Amino acid sequence: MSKPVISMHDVKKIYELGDNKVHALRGVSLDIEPGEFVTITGASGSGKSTLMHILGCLDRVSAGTFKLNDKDVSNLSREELANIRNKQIGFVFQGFNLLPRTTATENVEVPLLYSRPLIPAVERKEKALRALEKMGLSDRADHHPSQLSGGQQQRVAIARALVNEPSLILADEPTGNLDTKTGQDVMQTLLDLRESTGITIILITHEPEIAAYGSRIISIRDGLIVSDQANTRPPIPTESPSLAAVP
Amino acid sequence: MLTNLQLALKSLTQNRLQASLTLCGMSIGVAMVVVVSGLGLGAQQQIETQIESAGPTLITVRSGNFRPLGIAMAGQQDSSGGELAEGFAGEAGYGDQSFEENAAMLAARQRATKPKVSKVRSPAWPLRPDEMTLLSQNIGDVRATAGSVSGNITLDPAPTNPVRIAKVYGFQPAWPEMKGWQLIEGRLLTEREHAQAASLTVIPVEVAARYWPGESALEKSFALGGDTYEIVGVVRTGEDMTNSLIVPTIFIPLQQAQDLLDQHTFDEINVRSASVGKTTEVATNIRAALRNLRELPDDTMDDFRVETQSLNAMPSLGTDPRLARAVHANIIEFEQASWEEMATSLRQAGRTFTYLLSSAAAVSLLVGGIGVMNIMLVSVTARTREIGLRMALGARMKDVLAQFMVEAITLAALGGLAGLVLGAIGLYIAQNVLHWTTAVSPVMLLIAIVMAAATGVIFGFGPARRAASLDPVVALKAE
Repeated sequence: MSKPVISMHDVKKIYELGDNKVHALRGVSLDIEPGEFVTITGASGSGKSTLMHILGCLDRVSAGTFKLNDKDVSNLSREELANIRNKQIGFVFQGFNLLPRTTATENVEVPLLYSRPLIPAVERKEKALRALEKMGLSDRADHHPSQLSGGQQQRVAIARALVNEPSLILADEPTGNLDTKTGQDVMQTLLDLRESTGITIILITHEPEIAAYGSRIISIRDGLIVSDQANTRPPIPTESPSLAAVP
Repeated sequence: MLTNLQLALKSLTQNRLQASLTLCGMSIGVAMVVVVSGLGLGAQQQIETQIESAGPTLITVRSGNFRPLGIAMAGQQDSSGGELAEGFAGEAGYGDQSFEENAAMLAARQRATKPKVSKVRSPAWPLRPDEMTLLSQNIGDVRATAGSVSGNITLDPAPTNPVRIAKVYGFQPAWPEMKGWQLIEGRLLTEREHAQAASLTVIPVEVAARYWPGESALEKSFALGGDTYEIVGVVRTGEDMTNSLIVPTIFIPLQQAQDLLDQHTFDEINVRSASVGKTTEVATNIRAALRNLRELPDDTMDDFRVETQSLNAMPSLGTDPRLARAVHANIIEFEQASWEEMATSLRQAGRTFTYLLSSAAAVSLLVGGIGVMNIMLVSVTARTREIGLRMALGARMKDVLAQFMVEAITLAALGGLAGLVLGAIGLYIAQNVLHWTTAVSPVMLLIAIVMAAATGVIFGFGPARRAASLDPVVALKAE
């Protein structure tokens, strides 16, 4: 059995707001194996965003241990965390977070700008174009985000997440800003990606229908994992019944 | 680095309006510095020129003993004094007790009790070529020297000669400028013609009028020493030329005159000091150097005379020359000192003027800098989410810091360049439309650019550091 991508043990996160202490995570233990498609659900305020920030090395744990690819990242400096984010994690955000007035290719190139050793411009461009091609966006390479549909924008964002060949994709409500049909397309893209590359995907959502795409579904409430089960029956994408039902 | 620059330019074009407004502010600041320093320097130079043109910088050295009328040169009083000073000093000897407390009397008495300089070397030595070399090469703050020699000479028997005897006057290239010659007709001799001892001559306007009345004297000639000297120029020398009506004066290259007269010394050497303030010092140095070269013992008077222009000016204003010399001998460095004081205060005024204007310019540059800071702060605030994104994608603090610093410096540098262009236009207008005197100093230009860049660094650092120290989680949540 290979080493887990994520290995968390009794992770706690406490925010101090003045005199108040907010216990966002109260002891989360979690192992995620390579190639898993994990969806994390929970209501707002449940601690899922905090969990995502820690998983994404954007934030540090208050207590407990967190290993990413068998390396303890609990106590790394900002600089080291930045390097880990750059090399090992691909982020996909709810709001796409593409740079405006910047072409799709240039957007995909951004993580490569921060890679050390430096990657020459020509190679950056090649890599970005290859990632866009994987997302079926070769013909949109020179378009600005404003010239792309929401689905296309999110696929550019996924290309950006993939461009540095990370071991983990972290998607935070990737379908939140999309209509149901486009959301399903994006989910299908992620499924295909996992199928073809075997990449590990962690997706955070509050929608049960989206969570149902995962091979493993984790629910969080009040900073604790309340359920963690394998999902053997990922849904087959269909036309949205809700849309069809509209008169 | 290149990437950062591209990023900076891109983000500046994306905030075009803000960026161009800030650019305006910066460029006005830099342009102010350029224009103001240009005007200030111009004013200073103008003051300098005026001081130079009005002030005495000419020193005349003549050979000879001038005992009877006192010593004219300022600075010579110490050793010999003028006749009045000596007379006064003699009296001071009687008034020992009653004048003891008076410092001026004391000084006069000290002067009087010095060993008398009474011996005279006769005949006085002429001014030799090695002395000319000494004056032109070994005395500091000498801008130019020119020597002359003159003497009567019998012309060759030729029908073209209007007279039989002429006074040839050999001069060197700097001579006409020093003597204030005015060109009436034709031209002066070139340095090359002087060096080649060309057979050309320049004559006073009085001579031209006397011997070629009603026609041009140009291309007429004098035959002497077996050569034909063509007249190429007619000048007004400003000197009394009454004698020229009988024996015409003709000016020819020095070397020619020395050969014709078989006299390889100088009658007179004129020295132009580098600036008004240096004239006294140069004159004093010349005197000391000549005494030294001539090995004059301490008890022997100068067998030459060093005069400054102010002495010459007084008689020309109607003062009796003898009185002028007496005044100069006794009122120590009077004219010279007042000139130097005036020059100093004028220069000071010019400098104050420049500093004042420059500080106003610096303030406008400061305002430009605050503009840069403002746009950078706005930019950081408006792009918090972008910063968060970049951090999530792997940007380290220093990457973000570099990005915003480069942006600020680029903005300031572009503003600085635009300011230079604007400043150049401003100076051009001041010079050619308003007819003000301007001067461009490369140092000031450099300072303006460096100040613009420094403005970018100083005022860009705060916002850039603010961006770099953002918490990625918080930044990502920003709207």
